[in-house]
Amino acid sequence: MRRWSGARAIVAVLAAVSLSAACTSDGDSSGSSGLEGADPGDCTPVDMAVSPEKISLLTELARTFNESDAAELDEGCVFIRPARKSSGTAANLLSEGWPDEETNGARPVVWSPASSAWASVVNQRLDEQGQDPIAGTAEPFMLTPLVIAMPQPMADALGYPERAIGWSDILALASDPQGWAAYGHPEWGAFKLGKTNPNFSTSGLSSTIAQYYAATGKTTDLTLEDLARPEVQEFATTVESAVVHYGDITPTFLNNWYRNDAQGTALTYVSAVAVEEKSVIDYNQGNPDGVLDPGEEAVPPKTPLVAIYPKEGTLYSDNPYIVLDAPWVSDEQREGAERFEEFVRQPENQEKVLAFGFRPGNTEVALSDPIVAANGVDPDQPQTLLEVPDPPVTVEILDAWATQRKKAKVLIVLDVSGSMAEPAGDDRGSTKLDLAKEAIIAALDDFAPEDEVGLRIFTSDVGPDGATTRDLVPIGPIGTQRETMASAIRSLVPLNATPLYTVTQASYEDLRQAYDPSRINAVVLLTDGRNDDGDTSDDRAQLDELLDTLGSGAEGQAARPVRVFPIAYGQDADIGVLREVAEASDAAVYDASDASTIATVFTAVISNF
Amino acid sequence: MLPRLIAVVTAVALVLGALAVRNNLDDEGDAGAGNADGPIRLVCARELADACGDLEGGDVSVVVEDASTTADRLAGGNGRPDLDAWLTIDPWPAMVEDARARAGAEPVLASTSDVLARSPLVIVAKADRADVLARACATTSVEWSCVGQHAGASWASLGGDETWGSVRPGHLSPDTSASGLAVLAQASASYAGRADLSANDLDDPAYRRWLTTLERSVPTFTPSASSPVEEVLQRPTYDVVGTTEADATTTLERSPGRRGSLTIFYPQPMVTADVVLVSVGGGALPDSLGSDASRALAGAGWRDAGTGGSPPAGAPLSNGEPVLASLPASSGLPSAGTLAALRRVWQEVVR
Repeated sequence: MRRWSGARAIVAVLAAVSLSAACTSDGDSSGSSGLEGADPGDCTPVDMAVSPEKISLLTELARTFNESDAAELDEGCVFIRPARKSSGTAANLLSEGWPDEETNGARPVVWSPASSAWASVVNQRLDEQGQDPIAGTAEPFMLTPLVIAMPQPMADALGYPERAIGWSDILALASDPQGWAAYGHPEWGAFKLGKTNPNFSTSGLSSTIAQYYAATGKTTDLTLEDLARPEVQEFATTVESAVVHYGDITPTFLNNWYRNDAQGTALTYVSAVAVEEKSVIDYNQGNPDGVLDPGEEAVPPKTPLVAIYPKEGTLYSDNPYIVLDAPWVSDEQREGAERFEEFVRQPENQEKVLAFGFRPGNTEVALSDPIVAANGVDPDQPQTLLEVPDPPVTVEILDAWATQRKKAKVLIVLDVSGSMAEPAGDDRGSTKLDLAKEAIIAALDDFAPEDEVGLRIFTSDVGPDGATTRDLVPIGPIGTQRETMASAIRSLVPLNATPLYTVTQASYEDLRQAYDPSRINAVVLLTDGRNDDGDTSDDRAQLDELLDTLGSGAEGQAARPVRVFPIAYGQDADIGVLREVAEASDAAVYDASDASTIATVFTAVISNF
Repeated sequence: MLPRLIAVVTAVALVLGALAVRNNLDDEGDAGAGNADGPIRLVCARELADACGDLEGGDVSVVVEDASTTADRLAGGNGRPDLDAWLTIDPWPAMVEDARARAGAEPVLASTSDVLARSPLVIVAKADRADVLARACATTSVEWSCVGQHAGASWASLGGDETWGSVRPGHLSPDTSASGLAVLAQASASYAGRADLSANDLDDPAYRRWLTTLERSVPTFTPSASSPVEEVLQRPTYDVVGTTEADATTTLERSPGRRGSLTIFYPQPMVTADVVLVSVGGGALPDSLGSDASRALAGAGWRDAGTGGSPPAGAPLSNGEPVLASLPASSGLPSAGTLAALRRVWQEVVR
C-alpha cells in the first residue's frame, strides 16, 4: 500500500483534511463568513468558494459591492455571497459536481483557491472522467510569493540579503553535520526545516515544486525525466531530511515559533519554514496565525523573521478569480460575478488587498506598507518566477515526495478505558472505540512502508501487576506489520480507567530512549477522558512532571526531540491539558470533540509524518 | 337606493381598511421601545434579580435570566429582538456587538446608558480558613493568586484542620453569569499581577496551569442556593467564594447570626461590576427606567455610580470605618474581546 499516490489521492486527502483542519486548534476553522447563506432579497445570489486566508477580505468587499450601484444589472441585481472553503476541499467537490449542497454549501459561481495549481487538478480529474474542464483561465487578483522564513540572526549568519540564498543552501546546511556550528553558532544546533505536507497545503506543494526546480537548475518546463534523475532525487531527499515534522497547516509552525520566541528558544525550535510572504508579515506584526482573535493584541516577536526569496526562483500563490464554466451557473450570475471581479480589481479595493498583506493583482497599485523591509519582506523580490508544472509532473512530484520525505517513527497510544464504550453518536450505533478503531486502521494506509509504527493501548490494570499499558505491536516497519496491527486493533475492547499522565510520560520516554535522528519521532495519543488512575492526590504532581519532562526535552531541541500529538476525542476529553502537552513538546493538539470526525482528524494528524 | 348604500358601505370599508393598514405600518415602523401595545420588556441579568423585582409592574414586564442567555440570543438572532431593554453588567453589551460584527451581522443594541450602579468584587471566606490561607501565602488578606495556588490542596497541608478536607473555591459559572466571568477576570488579573490583561496573557502555559488548578477545584459552578455566599452559609460546598459586594452584604444581612463566621475581603486588583441599561433594537427608553433601576439597585446593596457611593449596610469595617470607602474610576475589567476569550479558555479548562 502506498501513501498519497496520485492526483486522486491529492484531492481525496485534501477533502478529508478539510474537515479535520476545521477541527484543529490552529487551523482553517470554519464558521460564518458573514455573508454565507445570507438572504439575497430580490437579487440573484452569486456564491463564491474562497480559500480561508482571504475570506475576511472578500466578505468586506462583497458587503460594499452588494450595497453599491455596481450590483445593479439591467434587469434586477446580484448579491455576492463568499463562503470559506479550503482549496483542496473545493477542488474535490468540484471534481465530483459539488454534491450535497446542504452539507457542503451552495454550489459556487466563482471559485478562488489559493493557487491556480488546484484548478489544474480539478480539470485533470474531470478530464479523466470524460468531462469538460470547468475552471478556465483566470487572472489573479492578489498574490503572495512562497518564501523561506528564517529568524533574523540566522539569516544574518548566512549573509542574507547581501548573499543570495536558495534551496541549494538549505541542502548544504541540512547535509552539514556541523549544522549551525559551520556558521559560528553551535548553540543553534542542527539545521531544522519546517514544511507542510504538500498533499494538504498550498505552501507545502509550492515549496516541494520549488525544491525540484532548484535541483534541476530550471525555472520552466520541469519534466518527468528531470524528476527521475538520481541527483535530483538525492537533492530532494536531503532537503527533506532536515524537516522537523510536516503537518496540514503552516500556523502550527508559526504559533509554535511565536511561543518559543516568548520563551527565548525561537532559534532552536526550527531554523526555517516554507510559508507565504503574507505569513512573514503577519508574524512580524505579532499575529502569527494571521487571525487576531477577540481581545488578542498584536505583540511583535523579540526575534523577527526574514523572508528569503529563493535564488533559484519561487512560485506565487496567485489566488485566481475563476468564474466556473459549470452547468449550474446562469448568465445572470456570470454577469454578476464579472461585475464583482471588476469591482475587486478597482485600485481602491486593491489597496485593501495590500493592507491585508497580499500583493495586489492590479499593478496600478504600488507596493507599499505592509510589504516593506520593516516587516521582513522585500517588495523588489522575487526576481525569478517558477512555472507551475504540468499536472502529470505535479502528480509525480507528490508521488516522489511520498518516498523521499523524512520517514517517521511513531508510537500510537490508544486509550481503551471504559468510557470508550460510550455511544459515538453516529447512526450505526457505534461506540467511540469502534470509530477510533476504524479511523486508525484506515490511517495505517497513510504511512509509507518504511515508516516505523507501533501500537500501545492504555487503561488501568491492562497487564500483569497492575500495568497500565500493553504494547500490542512493537514499533517496526509498517510495511511488514500493517495487517498485524489492524488485526490487533480490531480485537480491542473497552476496559478500565484512564491513567493519562503516567502513560504519556512513559510513552514519551520510551520514544526518547529509542530515538532515531533520521526520522520524525512522535507519539500520537488518542484519549477520550481526563487523567484517572484512582488517586487524585498526585494528579498535579504527575502533570507537573510530565510537562517539565516534555518541556526540557523540547528546550533547545537538545538531541532527541520527540513530539506528542494528542487527539482530544469526544466531549469529555481534557483538551486543556492535552493542549499543554502538545505545546510543551512543540507539537499540536487535534480536536475530535465530535467523535464522528475522528477519521478525518486522524488523517490530519498523520499528515505530520 | 341600494347602489348608493353599497357605495357608502364600500367607501367606509375602504377607509377603515386604509386606517388598519396604516396602523399596522406604524406598529412595524415604530422607532420607540419595541412593544408598542404592551409594557416595556426588560430582561435582567440574574445577579440583578432583587433589584429588578422592584421594577416589575405597570409599564415594565421583567424577565430574569443568565446574562449569557440574553447575549447569545442577541448575538445570534437575525429577526427583531424579543426584548426592549437589558439590564446587565458591562461589558456584556459590547461582547454581543463584537460577536455580531464577527458574524457579519448589523448592530442590534441602540444605546447603552452610563453606569447606573456599581459593586466591587469581593472574596468571602470562612473566617478560620481565611486565616490559614493568609498565613500560607504570607499575606494579610486573601487574594485569588493565593487561592489558585492552593486550590485543591488539603487544608491540613496548609496548617488547617484535617476535617476541613481540601481547599474548595467557588464562584458562579463564567460561562453563563456576568459576575462569574468578572470574578474569573479578577482572579486572572491577580495571577498576572496587573489589570490590563489581553487575550495573549491567556495563552501563557503557567497561567493555564494555575487556572486549571483553581477551576477544577471548584466543586460546582451552579450552587443550589441563590448565590455562592448563600451556598457557603447553607452547606459546606465552598470555603472561599468570589462574588459582588452587593451579593455578599445583602446575603449576610439576612443571616446576622452567621455573619461572624465569614470574612469579606476586597482582593486586588480592584474590579467592580458596573450595571448598565441597554436599549435593544428600537428607540429610546423612558428616562425614568434608568433612574428607577438605579434606586432599585441601591436598595439591593449596589453602590451609587456617580460618586463612588457609600458602602452598603453590612460592608466590612476597620476601626469603625469602611474598608472600602470609595471606588476607582473604572471597572478594572479587561476589554470585551478579552472577556470573550477568557470565557472560551474557561470552557476548555473545565471541560
